[in-house]
Amino acid sequence: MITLIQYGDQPLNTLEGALDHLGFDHRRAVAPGGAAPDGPLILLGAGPFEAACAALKAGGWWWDLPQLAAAGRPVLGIGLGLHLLAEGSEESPRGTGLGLIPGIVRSLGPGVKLPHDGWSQVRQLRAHPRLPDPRDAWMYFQHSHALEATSETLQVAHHGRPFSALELRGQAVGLQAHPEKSGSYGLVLLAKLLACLDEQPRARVGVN
Amino acid sequence: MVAKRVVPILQVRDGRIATADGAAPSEVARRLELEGADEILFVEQGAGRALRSAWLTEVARALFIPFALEAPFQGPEELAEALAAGAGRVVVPARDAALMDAPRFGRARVVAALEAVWSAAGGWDEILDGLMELGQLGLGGAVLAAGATELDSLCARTVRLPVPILLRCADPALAAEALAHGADGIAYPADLMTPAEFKARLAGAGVPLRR
Repeated sequence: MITLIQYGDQPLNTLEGALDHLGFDHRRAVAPGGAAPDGPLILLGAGPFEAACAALKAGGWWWDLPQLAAAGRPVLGIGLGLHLLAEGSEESPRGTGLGLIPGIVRSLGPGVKLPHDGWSQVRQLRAHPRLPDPRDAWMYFQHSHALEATSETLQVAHHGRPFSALELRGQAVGLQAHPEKSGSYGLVLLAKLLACLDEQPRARVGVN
Repeated sequence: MVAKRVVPILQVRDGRIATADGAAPSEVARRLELEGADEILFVEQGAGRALRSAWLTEVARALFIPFALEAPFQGPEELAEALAAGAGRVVVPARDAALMDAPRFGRARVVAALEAVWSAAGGWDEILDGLMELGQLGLGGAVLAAGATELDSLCARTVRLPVPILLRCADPALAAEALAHGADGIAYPADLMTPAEFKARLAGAGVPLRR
């Protein structure tokens, strides 16, 4: 069963709606003790980096999440969740991230409007046997900072500069776009990513 | 490259759509998603705080594109409630922007509604100064209402808008020009035409659209 990490005032309704639509079982957990015994942990995030770090610490996740990941538990970070899984972010220069995905999150720009708020196209940098080639699919982004792409990055998007749209490092996955708000392609990608993390829906459900 | 957004506006009163036989917001919004909307802008009429979280939650669970809520918010706590219920963005009156503690919620999640009033003396510089101030308050953009004079002025030259701008405009021809000259999206009354039809009318503008 999927566990949605509930911290601060993060809005989980849209993601829950997407998981219901796709037929996945899920529950919310405000602290590690409330997590399902197995299955992926999803860290959905929006808003300021520092406030999210503080909320994760208040719930005890900050210390337990790396331990769970080290024990082989899959973790999926979405939006700000990707930034939190990285090693740190320029948004909070003195702060660090959880360090499950290598790299520092840096500001987008200069020369473009910030925030990057809307639909941009995503392209494949490295193929993955269990993920579809996005072939310039449109996905919804809402952010001002992003992880720089490396040779390990699977998919990239562009706003002023190329940035990482999808990272898959062992059992840690980071997605900059919001698949739960990216229409039918986002739902397909979410289902495929969860399948990569060995999570299957209750029954095969059509996506539209 | 960011697609120019086509955003139908739905008026909500007492938790129901004000202009479509009192339908549920989630049902109408989902239909608009399937008809090609990039985002939905809900505009709440009247005092709706008591019912707001319930219908926003319903929308959030049914819709797989972003949506925003414009409402007569009385303060930051009301913004927090709306965002926690699933609104991806809240739209506050520009005159109240300084009272809304926007940085608390993150730069992208609070935008201002304002009316562009063009004057021969100030021209677009005056309007741009107002938009710059919004950016300094930590707001992530604006929903701009503009009259024919302002739109003519905007379309007469490329304007370097400092933050993402969603322009209220019911005329696809004017919308096409405004998008080509710096606006980032168009918000129009949902009962005017489907988002796919609106996009078809923008096809000649040479701007990127999500299909």
